[in-house]
Amino acid sequence: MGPAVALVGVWWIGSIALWLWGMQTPLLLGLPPWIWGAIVWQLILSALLSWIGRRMVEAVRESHGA
Amino acid sequence: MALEAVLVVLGYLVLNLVVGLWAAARQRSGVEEYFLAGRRLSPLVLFFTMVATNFSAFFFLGFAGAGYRIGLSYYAMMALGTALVGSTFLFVGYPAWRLGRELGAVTPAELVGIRMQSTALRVLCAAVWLLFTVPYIAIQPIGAGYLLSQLTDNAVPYYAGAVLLSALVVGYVFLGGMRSVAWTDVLQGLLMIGVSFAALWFVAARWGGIEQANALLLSRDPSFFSAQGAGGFFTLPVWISYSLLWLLSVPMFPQMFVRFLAARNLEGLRLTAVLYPVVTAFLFLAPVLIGLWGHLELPPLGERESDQVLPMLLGKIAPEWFAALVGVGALAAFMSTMDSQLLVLSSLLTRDIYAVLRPRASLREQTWVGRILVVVLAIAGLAIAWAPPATLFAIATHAFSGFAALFPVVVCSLYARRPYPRSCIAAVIAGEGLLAGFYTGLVRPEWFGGFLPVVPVVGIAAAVMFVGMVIERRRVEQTA
Repeated sequence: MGPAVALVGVWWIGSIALWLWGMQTPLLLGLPPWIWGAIVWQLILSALLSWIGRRMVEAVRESHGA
Repeated sequence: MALEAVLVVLGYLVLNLVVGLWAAARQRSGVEEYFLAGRRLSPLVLFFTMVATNFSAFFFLGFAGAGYRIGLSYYAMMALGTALVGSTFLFVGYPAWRLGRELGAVTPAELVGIRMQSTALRVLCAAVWLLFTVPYIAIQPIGAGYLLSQLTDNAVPYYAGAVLLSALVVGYVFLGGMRSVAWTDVLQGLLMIGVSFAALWFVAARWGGIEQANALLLSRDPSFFSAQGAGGFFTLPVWISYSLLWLLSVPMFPQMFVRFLAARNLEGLRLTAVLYPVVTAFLFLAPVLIGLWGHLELPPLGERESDQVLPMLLGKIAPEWFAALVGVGALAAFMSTMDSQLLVLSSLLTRDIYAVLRPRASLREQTWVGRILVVVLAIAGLAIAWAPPATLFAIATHAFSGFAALFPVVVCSLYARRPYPRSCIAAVIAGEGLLAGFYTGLVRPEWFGGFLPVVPVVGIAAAVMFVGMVIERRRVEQTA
């Protein structure tokens, strides 16, 4: 659990760094680069939570099996 | 008002009632069945009920208004902050789900009380959850009533609208409890998501697409695309505060927490955690962009007017039936939050107050008390909505920080290997006490370097909790 919480913590710090970066122009497909960064960063979080969740489901199955 | 618009509103209300009654017909008897849908919410239903409950009408109207005033940085703040809430579905939701089943807990306060072996703590936590949720039983009908009145060109006056919508919600919550609430949330969630993207597509087409609309606005005022936002709204402390506010408060909303207890399995929590950041990444863009484009079409709006930018813009450029459909999406957002708050308030009063005072109350009796409380609370909400006191809104504005103050205690109750009841009680009193200091003006926000109250409030609660745990552990070791 500890490493998973640390990963999410790193993601949170990254989201603050993204705001500090805040690059406005040029617009890419209508949105500023830092907003695209925010979108991609959320998709990375989704993938991260998918991985952590799968590990948790497996751990529960193993503990039930044991 | 066009006939099509009336038909859209009516059609939605009837469909909502049909889904609620259909779900109620599938309900079995029992207190867990009524308040938690028998702990059998399937993964997809869990996801939609989480989304619909969390995203209130503020998502439509408030996001668009803030997008108009602040710009795209509002999207980033709300989306990044809310996406991170997904992680709590695993780290808070999973242990809550597991322990809820093991201990038979039906409410969050019950779970905390049983784990920390303290009825006093249970009642204290229930009191905090009640204090910050009760104002919403009046605020939600007020908002929904105004929206319905606006949608029908005042053919349905505000108060009649509030009564009508409350009666509809009470009807399916009374009969079907959590099962009806969750299934109507599926309908409401789908509607909110569908309508948001349809509105974005429709409004963007006015300027030839998102790229053209944003390029035009950028040439007029680049500050709407900056990280600080128009007028330098976001400073670093404010940004950090908001990114913590949602993370710490949303899982502590009692109506969200009970959904952890209602999940059928861990897979449901995992799916919700994975999809949440995807939803925030794309869905949150729609109302903020629409609000932003209000500058291209509408005359300058004041702060209060700007919260109406979405209906104003649609009223100007969309056919009446389409504007009504988007309005119905906002109505769905109101109702999906309102029914969940009504049910969770009823469960807190039934399980953590009534059943504590009357321990011999049977489960059947508790279910009926819960049902009656749903009706009583709705009537009380409407009575308050008739002439709402100013304190009601003041309490509601502090609700997020008030819920967040419980975060350290709830996490302790989920993870601690032994009970720390006194530390938990001290932490709740310290956190809520500091918040009361902010509320009364005894504590000044400027003392905390530009951070919002949530940061010091959770900080003091966590610090008191930690010190208390060390002291309690030492005492136990000395007596052992």
